[in-house]
Amino acid sequence: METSWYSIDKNPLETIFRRIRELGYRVIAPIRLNEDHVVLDFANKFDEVSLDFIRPRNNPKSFLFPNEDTLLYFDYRSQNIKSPLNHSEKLALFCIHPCDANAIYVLDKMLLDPPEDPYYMLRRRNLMIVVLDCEKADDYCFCESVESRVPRVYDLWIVPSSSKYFISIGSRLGSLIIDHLPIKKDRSPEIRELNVKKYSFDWSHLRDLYDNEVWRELSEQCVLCGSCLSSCPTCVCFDVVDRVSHDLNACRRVRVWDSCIFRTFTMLAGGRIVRKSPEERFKFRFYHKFVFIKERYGVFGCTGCGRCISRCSSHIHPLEVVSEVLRNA
Amino acid sequence: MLNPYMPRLAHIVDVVDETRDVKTFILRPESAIRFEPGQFIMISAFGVGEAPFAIASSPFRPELIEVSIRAVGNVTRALHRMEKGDVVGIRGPYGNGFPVDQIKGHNVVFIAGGTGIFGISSFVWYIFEKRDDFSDVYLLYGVRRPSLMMRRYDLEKWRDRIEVFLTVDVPEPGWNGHVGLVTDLLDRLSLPRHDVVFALCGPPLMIKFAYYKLRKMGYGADQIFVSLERNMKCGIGKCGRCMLSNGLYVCKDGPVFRCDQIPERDIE
Repeated sequence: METSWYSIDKNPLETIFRRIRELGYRVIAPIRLNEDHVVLDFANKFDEVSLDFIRPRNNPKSFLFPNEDTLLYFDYRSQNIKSPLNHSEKLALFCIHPCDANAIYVLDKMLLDPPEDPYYMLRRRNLMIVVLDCEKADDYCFCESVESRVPRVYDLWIVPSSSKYFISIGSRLGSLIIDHLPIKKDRSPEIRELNVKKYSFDWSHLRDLYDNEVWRELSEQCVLCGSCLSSCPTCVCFDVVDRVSHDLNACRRVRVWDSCIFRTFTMLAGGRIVRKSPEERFKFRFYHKFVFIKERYGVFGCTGCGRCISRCSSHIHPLEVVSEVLRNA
Repeated sequence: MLNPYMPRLAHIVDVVDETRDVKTFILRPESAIRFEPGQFIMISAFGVGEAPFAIASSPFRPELIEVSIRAVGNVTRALHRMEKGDVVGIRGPYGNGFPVDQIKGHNVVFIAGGTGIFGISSFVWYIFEKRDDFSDVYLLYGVRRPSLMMRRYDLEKWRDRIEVFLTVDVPEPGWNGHVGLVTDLLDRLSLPRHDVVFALCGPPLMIKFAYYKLRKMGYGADQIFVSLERNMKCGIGKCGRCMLSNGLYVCKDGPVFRCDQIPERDIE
């Protein structure tokens, strides 16, 4: 799809921030916690927003697909099942980076694939996405190697350049946000190349290497802690747990984030574990993200945000793993 | 709004003891659950959790759903504590079921072990009702001991219209039937070579051995169907737990697979 571009000379971010709030949205923006950490959290004033960041510690998944989300309530006395589906809060993700916008695109593919996940859909329907392009990257970033440099879904995409701010409008809501701004039609901006190292693979071989011995050796650097998956913006595999109220009169069914790297993930009643070995559990993540999601939905299940590497005690880089495996093709 | 995670209520109409640790629950859902042979449902014991179960009753009787359950985990043990008149949550049916139209006109051989009989029962019932649509039909069913034979009342009825062969690993006094693995029965029967379709359900080892045995006997992987059991939390292809090593969901793309459509490592 051809993207049409506009530009504005003056920094439009503060005006956009105020406009989003005027439109009745609660704003979620990158906020600096301390020297090391920026998180996505609710911001009431533009001053709270920190734009000097590479990747926030959390990611949009926390707001669209929160951990411990309630699926239903059951009342033992009335034997009534109640749905908590009434989210109508309008949320705006302000100044997220392209990789995180693409993570929402992947979530859309997985969770809105029929039958739709209604809990996700209700939040997603009321979500505004304002993408701020990256000005820098670090060693962990690899969006360009997984076709994720350009955001696939957004209401506004703002690309700062040395002299002005380019703006692409991705929806009618996007044009509503900037209807008061003095923007002009413009050429397309140059999209900066960011990544330190570029990987280019023939991915088609990966599927056939599932049984390759190299996986065992590679899996040995992994301690199976699950940090990669809990920090991943596209990991939405879950467990479902019933919590009984303290008065024992009701229960609440919640879904809890879970990881395919844990032993219990494939455990059946009676104790049988389908993916028993650390090796099988280690490689499953790569197959799910780079092969299975790609085949089913036409997009990688990884956006190159680099969170998994930044959290990993062994700094396991997914594409280093893939390139090691593909070397055996 | 349509919420696929929302169960309906179902009343337990009756509970039948099958073996020491297996009970059959006859459920009456608020409204009939129309299903294809081989599909499954998710049953909730509210406060404990939800788990997938094969529907073991006839698809021609959708208003009463039978599930046979071995008490092995939290949910199954909670269900075992329930009685006639109690209420469970039920949602579904889920999964693809057996491709009945493809199998029509062929000879069918069911191979089931232990609780695996529940996974094929609804298909056997379908054939029982539509007997003329199929050629020769055999059921080979193996359990550890004669006293662990499940759904005997069904087996007796099925004998009227299909060939039923039973075997046990360990005989008990009074058992005059075959002793040995269910796969041994394959050697003793003169099964049709062509136009035959196999349907397997049982413990992982039985499935594996039966599959390799049939392949050795010269049958193609495309003649063998298997109903798989995996951990499931959603039933609709979201929670990711049942995914096979080729990316297919057991809940959505299965639980019934033709063996040439999945890697051999997953046939267990």
